[in-house]
Amino acid sequence: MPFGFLAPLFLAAAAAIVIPIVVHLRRREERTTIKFPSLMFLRRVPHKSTSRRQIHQWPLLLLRILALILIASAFARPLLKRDRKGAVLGGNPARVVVIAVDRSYSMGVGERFAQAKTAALHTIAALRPVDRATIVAFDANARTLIDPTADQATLRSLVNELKLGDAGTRYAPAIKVAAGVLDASPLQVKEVVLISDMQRSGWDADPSAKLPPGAVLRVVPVSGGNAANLAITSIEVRRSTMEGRERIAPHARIVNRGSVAARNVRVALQLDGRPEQSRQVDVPASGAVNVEFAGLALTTPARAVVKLPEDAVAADNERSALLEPGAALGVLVQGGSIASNLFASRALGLAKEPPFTVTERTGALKAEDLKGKAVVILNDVTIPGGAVGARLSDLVENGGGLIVAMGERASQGRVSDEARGLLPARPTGVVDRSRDGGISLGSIERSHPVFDIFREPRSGDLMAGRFFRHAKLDELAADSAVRATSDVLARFGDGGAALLERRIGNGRVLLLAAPLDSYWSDLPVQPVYLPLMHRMVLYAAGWERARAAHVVGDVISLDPGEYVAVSPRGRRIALDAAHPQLPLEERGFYTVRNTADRGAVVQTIASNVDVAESDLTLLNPTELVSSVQTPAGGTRVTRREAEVASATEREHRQSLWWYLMVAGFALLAIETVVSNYLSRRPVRREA
Amino acid sequence: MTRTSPQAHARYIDPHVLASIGNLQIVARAVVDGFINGLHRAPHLGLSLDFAEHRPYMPGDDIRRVDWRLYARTDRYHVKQYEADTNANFMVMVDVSKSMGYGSGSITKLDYARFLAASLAYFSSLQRDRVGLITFAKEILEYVPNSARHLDTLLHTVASTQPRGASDYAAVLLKAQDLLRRRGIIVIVSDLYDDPAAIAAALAPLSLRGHDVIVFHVLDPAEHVLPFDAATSIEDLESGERLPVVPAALRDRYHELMREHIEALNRKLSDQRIDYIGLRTDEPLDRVLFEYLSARERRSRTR
Repeated sequence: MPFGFLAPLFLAAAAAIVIPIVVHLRRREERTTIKFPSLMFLRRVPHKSTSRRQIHQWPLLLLRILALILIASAFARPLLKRDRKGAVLGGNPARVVVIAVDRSYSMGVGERFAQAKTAALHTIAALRPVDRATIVAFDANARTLIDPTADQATLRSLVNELKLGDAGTRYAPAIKVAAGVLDASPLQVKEVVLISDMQRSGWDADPSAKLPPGAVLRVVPVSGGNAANLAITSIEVRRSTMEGRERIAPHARIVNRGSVAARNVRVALQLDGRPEQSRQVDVPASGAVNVEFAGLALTTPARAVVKLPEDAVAADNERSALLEPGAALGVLVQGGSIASNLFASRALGLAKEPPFTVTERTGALKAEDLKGKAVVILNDVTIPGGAVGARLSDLVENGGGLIVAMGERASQGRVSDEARGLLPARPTGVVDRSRDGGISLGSIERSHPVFDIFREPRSGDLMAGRFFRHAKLDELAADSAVRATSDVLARFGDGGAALLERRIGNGRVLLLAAPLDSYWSDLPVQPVYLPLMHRMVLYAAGWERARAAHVVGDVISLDPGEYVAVSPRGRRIALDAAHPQLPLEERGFYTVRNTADRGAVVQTIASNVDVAESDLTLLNPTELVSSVQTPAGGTRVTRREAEVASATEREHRQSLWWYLMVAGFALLAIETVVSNYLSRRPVRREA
Repeated sequence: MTRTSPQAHARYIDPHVLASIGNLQIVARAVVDGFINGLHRAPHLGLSLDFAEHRPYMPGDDIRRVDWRLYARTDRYHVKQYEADTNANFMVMVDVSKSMGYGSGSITKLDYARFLAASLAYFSSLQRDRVGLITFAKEILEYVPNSARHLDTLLHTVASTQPRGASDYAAVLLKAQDLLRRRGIIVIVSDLYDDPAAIAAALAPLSLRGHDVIVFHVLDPAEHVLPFDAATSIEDLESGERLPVVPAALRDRYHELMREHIEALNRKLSDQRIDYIGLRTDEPLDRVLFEYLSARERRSRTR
């Protein structure tokens, strides 16, 4: 039989054709009732003869029967057993094939990418008319280029249009995308063809990257062009101050992934597109060297690019970084005496990333002293009131920092209204622990940015410092607003608050229950003093290290606003105004402009390739296959299941039911018209 | 012949017009009065007569009624008029079974029977007959005994009667024999849906007792032709029984059966010396009376 049915039981519904026949006959008999004087003569007529049961409207009846048969057949889901080309189907079931092509920049080595395209085209050519296939292009991410289709021309076109990317290789996203495609397909025979240079760095054995049961992963490795591969893996910026001016020295790390040493490699530094410096280095086989460039005196941010000569993998021969002149943080240390400021000012003066510009003052604080200061440290001095106090409050509100260290003078003095408005707690006296040999810090909020550098073992013993006296701080302020914005970051062993924080506006206030000198404690002579002081100042100033460069695949979040980004290759990317996010897909410099501000540049982002991709070490395909394939066994698709699935797919593709359904309803519509016409037509009186 | 009297034809009254007249006495008078004017010999029929007066001969008068002696004296034609004997009994038996309630037009067979009974009774009353009424279906339902003064009662009764039940001629006529012991004229108005032989057998005793029995067979035009087209169910008015039929398919056979039925009635009743007059409810009443009286006259001549 050239056709069949997926749900033949529905054909039983064709028995409903008796309904129009019964209706046909019943309607003739029981349409109306006429009262008549007597049935005396009518009864004598053989009225149950065939004439009364005769069907007079054959066209109507045939229309109804045909319509019902068509509709019942539509529900039975008919399908032709031969496709349009005449090939008998049902032998080997149709399959869905996901062709995953690696487009990471390592595929640019030699002819790898061309080989990958050829392999993909061969896979497409091997598809049968009933098979469906799709292309998944992947690097660090993966995306499906088209829904599974049997259109080989489209698939070939998509493969030919594939281009190398700047991202590294990640197999897991490709496997997950392919699994999603296979899951969505009604075909039961599923296959993934992974075409890649099989870098080991792209596979981290992600357990969530699994193909559906029964799906087969076939790996097509491409290779060739392997040679010494030099890569710039990082650019570090080292800052120094010479004669009061900051100098920025880029350091590039060159790695040789190959097995042959590279001699006289020229490493060039470009600044804003202009050659700046160059170095000649030798890079040992499977080794690395650091290349230090001479310090640069920059006044404005500069685009630095370090370049190597061309080799097998071109993408990792160039690395970009944005060099920004580091603005030194202005810190004012206001103490009771020069001696009391000694430890703090010396500790802060040693800071390099970023450098602090420390100003020491004694005596009364003046308003002009606050100018240009990011952080003000009040070391055992009372918080000024009046105009100076108001300026201090403004500084904090606008993002500045205030560190208040309580000592003998501060603890005993009267707390001004301005101080109340700034401090997280109120000093109520002095606690003397000298007779106990002093106390150390008891509990510390180690996850807080001030203390997080001390979290690791042997990263500094904060408990080493002994406090012989400390200010007693009434942390339970009556004002609920103060409570809501304040936290205790550290406590003494006796439970008293040692360090408190309060957030005011954009700024922060840190309140320490001891002075920064050695009168009340030996903390200034402990190793942790210097990093602690740095962290307190940086935290109070709200300073964050700016990243000189990002990696392709990163997503940069910006503050809400109307931005448009221009990619290194000149592509314009309009960002969502409410949640502007910029995915980095190319290496080089992205420029983000504010369209609401006449296109002013708000940010320049350096984007580099993932250096892990430079490692061309091969991954054993068997390892990948065994990891992502469901173990053979209970999930194997039987031949019968495959045939059923194939028939289902064929029926789905042919969609004959749709035509039958339309024809059935069209016949019903015609029947309605015809029956209306016949019912209006006068009945021919038989002689 | 009086059958062709132009006056009589001119006086034909459409039953549908009569149906619009509510009062049966007016209906009867309208039918009978004009009719009598052209039917002068009617009063003589079957009656013992006393001379009343002479009146000038008019075309249509039986020339045997011309007083030739008076003609000899006056040289003019006069006919003798007689005064009717009031001793004759005139009984109208009206079938009021449910089948009589059928009417395809504006009047039913029962309406037609009412007009007919009223007209005949009025006509007889004018001749000083004693008029009476029996309405019947399965049995005798109403009985107005014969009397010269019962015309009003008769008219009222026949006007108010309604169709009910089925008809049973044998039982009714058997009962009527007990009620109608004195010889007279018995007029039966019915649709006669029964075996003609059975009807004739039931009427035979009345005829044998010396009654002049006249049967008016009233049928609706639809009963002759079965005019329905579409397939339908036909319900018997008397029994309520339904029969699904295709009228168009059996119309011919029905028509044939009806014709045979009428012929059988006519034949079998005539054999019993019973007058059979077939009527259609769309026929004028006065023409019916005319034919009736003509038939009576023919019979009187043959006696």
